[in-house]
Amino acid sequence: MVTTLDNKNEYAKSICLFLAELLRTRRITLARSSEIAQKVLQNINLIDTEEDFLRLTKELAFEFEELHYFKERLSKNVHVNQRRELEKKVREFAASVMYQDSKLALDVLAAAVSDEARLEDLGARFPQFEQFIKTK
Amino acid sequence: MSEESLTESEPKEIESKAEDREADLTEAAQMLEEPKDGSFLTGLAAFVAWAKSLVAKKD
Repeated sequence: MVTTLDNKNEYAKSICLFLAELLRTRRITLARSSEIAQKVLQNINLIDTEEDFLRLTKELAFEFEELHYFKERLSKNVHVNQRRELEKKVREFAASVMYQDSKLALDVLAAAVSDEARLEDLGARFPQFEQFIKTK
Repeated sequence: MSEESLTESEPKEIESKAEDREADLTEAAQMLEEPKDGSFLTGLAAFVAWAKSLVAKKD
C-alpha cells in the first residue's frame, strides 16, 4: 500500500534529482539550491497529492526561475495521471452498466474521448457516473 | 510520479556559477541523489543543513 509518507518521499526525490542535475551542470548555485530545498521542506506537510505538489511548485517557480522547467514537466505528468485515472473509471463504469443501459455506457465513453474531459464534468453531466465514482 | 522523468534539466544554460567549487557541487549532487538512509526527505534536510553551513563559511 502506498502511504502519504511514500508519496512525500517521491515528491522529495523528484526535487532532489532535479536539483542534483542542475548542480552537476552548474545551472544553479549551492545557495539557491538550498533555498529551494528548504522551501520544499517547509511546505512538505501540506503536500498530500500530486496536485498539491504541482501547486507548491508553481508558487516556488515565481521566486525561483530555475524551477520553471520542473514545473512544466510536473504539470504534464499530473495531466497524464489524471487522464489515466479518468479512463480507468470510465471503463469500469461502462463495463458495469453496459448490460442494463448500453446507451448510457456509450454516451459516457463518447464524452470521455476528449482530452479536455474531466471527472468533475462527466460527473455533473451523468449523475449515475458521479454516483459510481463516489462509491469507488 | 510517473511517465516522463522530472530530473532532466533545462536545455538552455542559465549562467555559469563560478562561486561554487566543483568538488562542492559534485558532493551536493551526490547527497541529493543518494541520501544516506535512503529517505529523500531526510536527504533533503541534510543537504539544506550542509549547504547552508558551507555558504555561511564562505560569507
